[in-house]
Amino acid sequence: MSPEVRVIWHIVGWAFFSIVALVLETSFFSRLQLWGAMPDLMLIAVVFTGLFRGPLYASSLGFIFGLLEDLFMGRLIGVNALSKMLIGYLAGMGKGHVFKENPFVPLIAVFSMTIANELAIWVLTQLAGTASQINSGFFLMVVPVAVYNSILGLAAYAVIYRWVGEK
Amino acid sequence: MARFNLPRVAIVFVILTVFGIATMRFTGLDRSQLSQVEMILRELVAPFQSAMTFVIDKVSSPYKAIVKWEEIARQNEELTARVEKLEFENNRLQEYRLQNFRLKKLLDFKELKEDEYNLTAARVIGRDPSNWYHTITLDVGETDGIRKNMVVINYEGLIGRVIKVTENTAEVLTLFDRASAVGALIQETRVPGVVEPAAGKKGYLQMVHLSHDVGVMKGQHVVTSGLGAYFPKGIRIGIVSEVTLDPSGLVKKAIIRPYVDFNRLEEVLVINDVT
Repeated sequence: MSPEVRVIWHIVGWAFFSIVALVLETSFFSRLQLWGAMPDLMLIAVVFTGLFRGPLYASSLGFIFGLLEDLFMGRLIGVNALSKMLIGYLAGMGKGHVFKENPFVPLIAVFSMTIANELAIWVLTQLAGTASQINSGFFLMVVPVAVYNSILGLAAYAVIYRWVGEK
Repeated sequence: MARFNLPRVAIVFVILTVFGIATMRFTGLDRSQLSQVEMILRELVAPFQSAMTFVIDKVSSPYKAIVKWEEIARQNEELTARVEKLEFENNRLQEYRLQNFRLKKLLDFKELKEDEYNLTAARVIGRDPSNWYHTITLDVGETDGIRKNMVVINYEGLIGRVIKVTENTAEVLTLFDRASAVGALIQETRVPGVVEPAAGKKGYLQMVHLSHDVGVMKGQHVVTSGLGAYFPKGIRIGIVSEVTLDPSGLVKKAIIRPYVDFNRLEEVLVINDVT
């Protein structure tokens, strides 16, 4: 596969994934909540992409995914774009430093990056001057999301590994 | 992976960050309208959401019922109990509505007759256990000023007269009792007679002692004549439904359908005094 075709293939694949993730998050996982939490599929994808493809690729993807989410939700546009961009960058820094075959890697990466993502959102909303409710019961809200993301992340790890992993 | 120039990337990141924070500031919850891009994205995703929801509903509903059978059973019990309670309440309210309707008519009547009679309202609390056509028991008695032989009416017409009084109850002999006889007259022709229970015609009264040559016709109205010891003049009794000639050919008999529905007596008025 030529590099150009590979790039196009990636763009189409991610575009498809983003729509599927949006649909699943809003209509499927909204009914399949875990302790009142819904998973963030795009975040999982960004974290794994960071581990496999590095900070530039993952932060770009994170920005686009986040922006899509923001546009879909229609409020505080930019908050998810920036937070996911940051997460992509942070996760990308792990590239080459972690043993990707270790099953604890996706678990720990997704869990910690979910917490980081939520913290970033909180900071950004403060910067934007928006009164945020994230303060109240922050960890009660974040930990279930992190656990849910980790469980799904573990299941999706193999797929992401195959999709974006360097061969 | 291709190497990238760090300062250039850093500049892009900074620009994106500034851009992001700026858009966040302008896209708070108080925005009145979505942008074109947001609307397009929502419109794009909506059919998929709808399809996904449809599929989930179809697939999950049977399983949901199984998984939640205990909750559903409990809900069912609760709802059944609630339905029963509401039915009971509904029935009670319906009763109140009907009672309100009857009392209003009674009140109107009372107000209408205020100039003629002093009236005491009473509720029917009992009927003769052997045959309730004959006597009824009211919830008023001596303490309410009720005395023997007082006349009992409602907004429809004459009911009877009090025959026994206790401190708090009064027994009323209705027009259907064999012992009842009321001096009456045909309202249109002023022909007098006596009204008593119709022999062999349940639910009807008869006006007897009518001369064979008097003008009594079906549809005429019968009121009390005021002759006799108990009943004041002019109280409605019933309407003539049939006129028959006695086999002897000397007297007529008028069958009267009473205005009062004796099967549904609930509230009545006792005439204390004729003013």
